Amino acid sequence: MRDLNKILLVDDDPIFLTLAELAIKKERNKVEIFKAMNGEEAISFLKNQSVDIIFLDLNMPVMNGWEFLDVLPQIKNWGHKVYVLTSSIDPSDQRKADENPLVTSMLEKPLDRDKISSTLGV
Amino acid sequence: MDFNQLLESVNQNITEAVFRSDKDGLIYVNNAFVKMFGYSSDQEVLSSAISKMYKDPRDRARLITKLNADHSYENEEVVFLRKDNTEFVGLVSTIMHKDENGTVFWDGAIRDVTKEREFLDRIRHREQLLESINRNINEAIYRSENKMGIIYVNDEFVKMFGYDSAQEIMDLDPSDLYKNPTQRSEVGSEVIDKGSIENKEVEFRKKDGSTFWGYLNSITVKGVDGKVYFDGAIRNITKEKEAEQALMRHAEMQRILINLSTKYIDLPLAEVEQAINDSLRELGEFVGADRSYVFDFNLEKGICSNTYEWCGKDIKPEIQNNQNLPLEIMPELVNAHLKGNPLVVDDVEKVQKEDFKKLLKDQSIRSLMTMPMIHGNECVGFVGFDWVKMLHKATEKEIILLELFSEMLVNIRIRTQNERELHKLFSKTIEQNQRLKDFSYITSHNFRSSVANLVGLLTIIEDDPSNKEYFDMLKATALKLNLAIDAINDLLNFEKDISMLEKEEINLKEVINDIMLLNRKSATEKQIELEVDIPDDLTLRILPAYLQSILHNLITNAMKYGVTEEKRKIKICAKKESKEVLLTVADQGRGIDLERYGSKMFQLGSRFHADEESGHGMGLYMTKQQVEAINGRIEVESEINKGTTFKVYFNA
Repeated sequence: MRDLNKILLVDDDPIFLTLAELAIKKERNKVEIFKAMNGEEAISFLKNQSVDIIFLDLNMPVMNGWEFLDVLPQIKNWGHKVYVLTSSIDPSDQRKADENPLVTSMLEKPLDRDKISSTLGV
Repeated sequence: MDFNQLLESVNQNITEAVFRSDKDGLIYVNNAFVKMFGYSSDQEVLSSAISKMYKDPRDRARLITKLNADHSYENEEVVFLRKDNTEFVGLVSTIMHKDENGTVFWDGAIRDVTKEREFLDRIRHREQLLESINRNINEAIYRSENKMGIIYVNDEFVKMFGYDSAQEIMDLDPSDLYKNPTQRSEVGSEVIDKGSIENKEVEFRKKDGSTFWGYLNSITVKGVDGKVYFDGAIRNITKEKEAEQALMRHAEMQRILINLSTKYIDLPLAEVEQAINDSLRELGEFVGADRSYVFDFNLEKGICSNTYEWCGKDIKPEIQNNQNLPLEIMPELVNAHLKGNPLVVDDVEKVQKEDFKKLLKDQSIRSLMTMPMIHGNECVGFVGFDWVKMLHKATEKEIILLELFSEMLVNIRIRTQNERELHKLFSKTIEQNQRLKDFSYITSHNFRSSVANLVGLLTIIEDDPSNKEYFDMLKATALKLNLAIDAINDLLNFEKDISMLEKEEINLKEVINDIMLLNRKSATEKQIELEVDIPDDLTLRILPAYLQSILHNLITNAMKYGVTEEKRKIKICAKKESKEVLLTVADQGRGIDLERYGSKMFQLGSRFHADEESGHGMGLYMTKQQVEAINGRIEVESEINKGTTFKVYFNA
């Protein structure tokens, strides 16, 4: 299995970003982690750089997760997989995630060891 | 042949009684005489006294006088007596002769006309009877013939058709007696085909041109002269027709009434308008009106408006001209209706008040009838009919019908209003429910993200207990959780029953000063330049907690997101505008792209600024909810890098 070593975290909560980075780095050595505070920052990042995995929060200012997913197909070679990572319990979010072909699956925060294993591979 | 023999033969064989008499009496009678007078032989006759043969002796004297004067008479009518004293009527003719000796004879003949007389009497009786029947019956009787036209009509016929004499009718073309002149030949052919017609309904025409319905009965009769005659009788059934039509009208009215009273019971709201229009048409057509309509009063503003209208064929609608009419221009109508009375104008020309008359005549109205719509004790408008093409005299039934329609309209409107209110309440409940649901997702999301962070932080602190940075993050997360809980409290307080709270008269400028005092610290830190333009005496009657919350939110928002290093001005203005107070909070900051975010501006959970001070997406949502709860409204204007202005309209 190919190493999934380029990861983009998109979330407006700086504490979550820090925690997620620490948690991933604890499980994996060879990873590069990039962070964006909202959809718009993530889009400008992806215009220059492709990644293997995106962990995407939904509720963000400026450009939220859904708006980000609307714009994402316009970028060539952005990467491979998008995981929605949220603490939302709104069933309509789950439904929208299931229906969106770009989304691999929807995960619930926090990002713990099991979720890192299942998304990045053992 | 012997002449005397021939004479004798004639005398003995004819049916007339032949006689000769001289001054002493009868000297010759023939067989017919003997038989006519009931004797057994001529001798018996000759030996009888002539005077016994007259019923009235004065007849004999009269005839003798006549003979002496004229020497003859002809066909004198005399009642004779037979031998057995029975009577018969005879016509007697006599000539006086004188012979060479100067002796005088009277030769005569008698014809027994008893039978003829009886026959004539019978005919006379019949004529009398016919005459009497003709005079006394109510039917028009006639006889007509194809070429000659009408040859007989009775008195009733003359009367029924409104002519002066029978002769006048007989001189007419009979087709003129029919409303539709061609119908005469149709009726004629039908009588010939069938031999007779019975009670055929025909509309006839009188001399004055008016028409009436009649039953026509006719038969063909072959006259003694061989011609075909039409004998007929006409009965005027105008009254019956009228009764029948009245009955039909009655049934129609009943149908309309039932229709009216059932139609509206379960009518869905969306169909009410159509139903009212249908009823206006139906009622208008029924009473023969040219227009029917509904007017609604607005007593507060002193105006009324035409809300529904039906117009008959070729009738000009007036609904556009009858909007927001001041009630003063038709005091007769308004005053009658405010007292609960209908207004009936049979002839607009007779209206006393000139301006009211003009108002009606400008709409070509010739007659009208209007009925108030009464709700409770209040007149809320009226319904009515106009007659444009001709005058109309209102009937009691029409008034009752209009009254019922008016009641029906009031009822349906009350129901409609109730249902609309219910519907509004229902939508509000659904909306509230959705809001609570959204709210619970947002709060749950906020809680869970903070809790997730707490768990994550605690895990790394276990590994690295001396890292101060992690502790700071722990503290920030705990504070954020605390803020989220505060936000819930705010919202729950807001959801409290608004009717429990009391309004107070509040000076707007003072409230702003209080809020600025509370935010003094951050205002100083950010070097906010505050400009307040509010009249000192401007007050609002409002729920104080709501007003404070609204202003607090807008001002702190402006301070958080509306200032930059260069632009630090915040302007708060308020002024009274007719029935509202307009309050504006304007900054000169970065602005918001309304094209992109306008629809989300006041949504729960929406955030627009990617910085540390980003909130929970509740501020503007709460503000809008609060503004609307006190029947105000909020608008936003913004331009990128020019600033944002929030406008709040409060009911003064």
